[in-house]
Amino acid sequence: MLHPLTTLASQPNVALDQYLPLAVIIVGAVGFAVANIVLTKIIGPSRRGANKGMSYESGMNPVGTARKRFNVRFYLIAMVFLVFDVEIIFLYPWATTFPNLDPANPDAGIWLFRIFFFLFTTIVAYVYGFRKGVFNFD
Amino acid sequence: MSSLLVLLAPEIVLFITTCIVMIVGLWPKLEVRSLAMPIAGMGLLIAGVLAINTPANPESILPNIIPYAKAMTAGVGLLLVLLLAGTVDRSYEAAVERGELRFNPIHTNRAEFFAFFLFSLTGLMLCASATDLIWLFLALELVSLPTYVMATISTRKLRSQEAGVKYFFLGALGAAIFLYGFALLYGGTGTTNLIGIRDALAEQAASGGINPIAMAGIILSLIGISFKIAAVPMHFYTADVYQGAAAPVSAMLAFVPKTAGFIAMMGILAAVGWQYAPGGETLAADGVGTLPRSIYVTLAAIAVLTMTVGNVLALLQRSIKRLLAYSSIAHTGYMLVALIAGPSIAAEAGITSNGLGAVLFYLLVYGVTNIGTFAVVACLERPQPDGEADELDDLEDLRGLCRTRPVLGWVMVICALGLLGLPPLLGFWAKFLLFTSAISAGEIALVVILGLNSAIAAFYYLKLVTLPLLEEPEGDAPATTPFASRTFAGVLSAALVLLAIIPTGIVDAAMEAADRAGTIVPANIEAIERSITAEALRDEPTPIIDR
Amino acid sequence: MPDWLTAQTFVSVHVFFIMVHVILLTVAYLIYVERKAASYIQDRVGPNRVGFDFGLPWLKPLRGMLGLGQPLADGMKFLLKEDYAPDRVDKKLFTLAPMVMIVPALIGFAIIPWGGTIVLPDLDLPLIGTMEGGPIVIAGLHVNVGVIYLISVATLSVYGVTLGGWASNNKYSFLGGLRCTAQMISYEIPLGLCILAALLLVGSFLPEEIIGYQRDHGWLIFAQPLAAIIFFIALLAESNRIPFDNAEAEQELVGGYHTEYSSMRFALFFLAEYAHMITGCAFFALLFLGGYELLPFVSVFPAVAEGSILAVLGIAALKFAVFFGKVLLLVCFMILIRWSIPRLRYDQVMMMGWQAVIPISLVLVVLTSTMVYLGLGGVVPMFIANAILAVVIVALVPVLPRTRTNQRLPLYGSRFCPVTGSTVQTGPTDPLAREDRPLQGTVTA
Repeated sequence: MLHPLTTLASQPNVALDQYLPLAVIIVGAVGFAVANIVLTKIIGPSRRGANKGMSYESGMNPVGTARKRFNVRFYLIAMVFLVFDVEIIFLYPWATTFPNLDPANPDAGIWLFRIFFFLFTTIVAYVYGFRKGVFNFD
Repeated sequence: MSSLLVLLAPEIVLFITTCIVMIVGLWPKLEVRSLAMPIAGMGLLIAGVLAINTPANPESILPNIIPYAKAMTAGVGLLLVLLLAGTVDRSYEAAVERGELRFNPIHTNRAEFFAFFLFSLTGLMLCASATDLIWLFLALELVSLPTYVMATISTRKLRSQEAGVKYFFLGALGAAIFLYGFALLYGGTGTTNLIGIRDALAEQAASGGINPIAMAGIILSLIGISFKIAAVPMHFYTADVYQGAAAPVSAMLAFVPKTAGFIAMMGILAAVGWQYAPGGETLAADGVGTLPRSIYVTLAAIAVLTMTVGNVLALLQRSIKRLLAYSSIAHTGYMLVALIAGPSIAAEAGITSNGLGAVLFYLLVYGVTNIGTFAVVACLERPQPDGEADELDDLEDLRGLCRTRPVLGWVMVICALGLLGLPPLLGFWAKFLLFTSAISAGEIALVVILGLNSAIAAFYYLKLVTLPLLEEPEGDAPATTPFASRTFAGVLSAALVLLAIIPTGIVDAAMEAADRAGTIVPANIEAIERSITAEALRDEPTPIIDR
Repeated sequence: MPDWLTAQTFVSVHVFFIMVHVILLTVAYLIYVERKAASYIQDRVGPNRVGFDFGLPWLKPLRGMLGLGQPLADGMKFLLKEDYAPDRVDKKLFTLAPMVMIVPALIGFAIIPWGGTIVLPDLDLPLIGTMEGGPIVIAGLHVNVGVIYLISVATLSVYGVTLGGWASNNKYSFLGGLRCTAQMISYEIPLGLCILAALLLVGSFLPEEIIGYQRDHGWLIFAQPLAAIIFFIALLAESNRIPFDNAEAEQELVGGYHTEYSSMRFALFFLAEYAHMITGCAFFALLFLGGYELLPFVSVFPAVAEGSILAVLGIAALKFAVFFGKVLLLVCFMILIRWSIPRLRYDQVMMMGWQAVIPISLVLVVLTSTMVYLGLGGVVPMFIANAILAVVIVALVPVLPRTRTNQRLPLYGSRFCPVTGSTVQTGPTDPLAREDRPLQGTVTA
């Protein structure tokens, strides 16, 4: 049985109206965040000092800045993440249409094959990254 | 859909080979790891065989180009694979074999090197099957992006990294320019499909001239793509990159991006067609047409400057690789002349008057001959303490090579003569076709400049001939690389240059590949007819363009 | 009544603002529950002093109250403390980071259909006039992208962490921010893949349809048990809960990315973490536990509540109670995990993500799509397929190559690496540590 609201998604004129609450919600959430920070600025005390202004490094005087070069591994993770995330995003529309396809439909096999080919490329990338040691964190 | 899969079968085979090579190249066992190169060659062989049997694609702007272009890619690719053996990881693998180091996949580049090589060739093949500007753009980028990395990792020296960075930044600039051109072309015609663009442009030309936005788009695209073919406004990287990269990679850079660029240019120019009167409106009948005026001027200027700059600067070089780089620029100029001449529009077109066929044939010949010269450079080396041998790159190192290293010396002599275009060799036939096609298109001025430039080129090519052949060697024979396949690649290409005396079969294939490009299809003929009716009213009825 | 103000919009905004208050109150008391749970697990008493007497003698009966006033006191303390930023921080980003963190946490759960669908009769409202009735979803937001909204909003919080770590200009914060970012984006992949595995059976993004599917076919936790487990693990990692709280591993990084934060800006981070827990658990309940349905295979509530205004609101309230009850149980489960399992080391977290969880979830997606293609998307075949996959994974584990990063380094002089000449006479107490069996007897040379 189809839900009475199923048709909602397919009505173009409704599509934008749906998002009206989102605008209100975002305004409310941002208002909450800003109000809290402003309120505590007003209510809370404010005293400054040379030692107080230091960065906290377990009681030692901080040496140098923290904006230094860091391990390249983090870049690798970010790149591999991009590969996978873009892949997943492309899979979502497919995931919601594929089950609704009649399996007897001759195109269903092609649909599955294409997605498997797409997944295959990612899996090759994964195996490659694995062999290269991207996923070893020692 | 399935017919498209048949057309793309070589690409799919290459892509799957790439995936296999990528994984196999990281295998812990050396024996398995060494299979990367044979597997790459195998994939190219299968792709080439598949390519020869590909049917024509009626939806493509260059309908018959696919079998020739892809088979050429696979064939030259096979030579290149032989040449590329042992380029990367030499000292590392040696250290692993001696047991000094444990194999760690993160320190090896073999997998990436061959995988990127195959990616680049896949992109080249995709260029040939492109039916759409977006497809063409992606294919061109797939050609280029791997080559940046290959140039960088080809040696462990600083100059390779410098070359890679330089190549990458200028390449990004070129890509930006032609992408902008593509965008304008889309804006001016309202479609990204190349056939759609052709029809739209024909309609615009018939109704009073091509849209200036589309025209600007075409010119920007051509200038941007001239980066790939190393033509003059974008040629600055060539010498530095060819010198910085290892010689096998330079040989690849001289063929793969250049071919891709020329095929892309042919596609775009075919969308314009070579059937315009000087004013830019469509030609009436089977008179000798040409490109629209502004495109013609742009291309002719690029061609003349490219030839001249390449040849004159090549005269000044002492490094073999820089010399070959400038010679590569000059050859681009030669081919541009035939590109301007275009396919013969006249009804009784022979093989000598098809400029596009001449370009396609020249690309093949240039690729093969050039691999021979670079193979000699790749084979000679100066041993270094760190195990990464340094290439012998100076002209003086060739002195007396025919006596000390006869095989390499003769390869160099034959291939240099081939590049020069000495009559019985393969290079002559290629250049002959360039000349005849340009003459039959009436580009006499360009032909004269082409002839003069060939004469200038003789100076430096003869240096490459006389130094090994006539001079006495100084000191000991130079050391050679332990990779026999590189010598084999050189010998093979020299043999091809020497033995294929009159390569009619290949010429016919090239001409057939260029067939039906740039002509206006019957579907669109009404627009043309409308424009010529006005003229026909003044003159006596003229026969319509031959279908 | 203006055109743009549909009944759905009217209800949505009200539901959202009610839910924000419910959730913020829940968060406050979750912290209390967490402290209580921790203290009972550690054999302590926990907060038991602060009641609601505010130190006033005439409110004496409200003193104590099992420490129920503690969250209120904590909140007041956050508001009254100094909001301090050290000299070297990037002031703008430093203020922005907690806001970037809290906003997604507050708007993320808007998509959750707490009360299901009701058919609202026409209502006469003061000020805005007659509101046309019709089918309404009791959710803060009812949009056609469905759960995609939840995924995209929830992952925005990673920016807050990155910004907070970067803006603080403190080494601890920076490292904490980096680690946390890497961990969060790593576990986003299995999260997305498990949602995919569930959606492949449902075939829709809309939360109401996901629940509708589970009403008809049984809860998805039975059809996709592996996906549910992996999803829960990824949720723990996404909300930086133990065993995945490397961002603020106290022994290594002091407070991680919020080392330099104080007062309300710190409180916003804190709130966001707990709000994320609730959102995540609600997502889990929605996807795998049948949402507001009380029993796995039997539908208790009508799919669409119809009737008088009181009846439909009553049913919606009951559905909400069931849904929120599930969420609270899941959150309490998370709290129990926190106080019973030790923290994983950073490299262990990442390796578990990339070498175990991601491949398994990829295989799961392939398996599910194949099963759907073969027409075997029902609960029983999917459960069997999951079980087979689990068996295969367990069988494969000994075959796979082992990484050597977890070798123990024996301390010189300990029983594992004794000093020459000393006598060792101990046996392993832990049967799992058999490979660590120390040397026995007197050690020579």
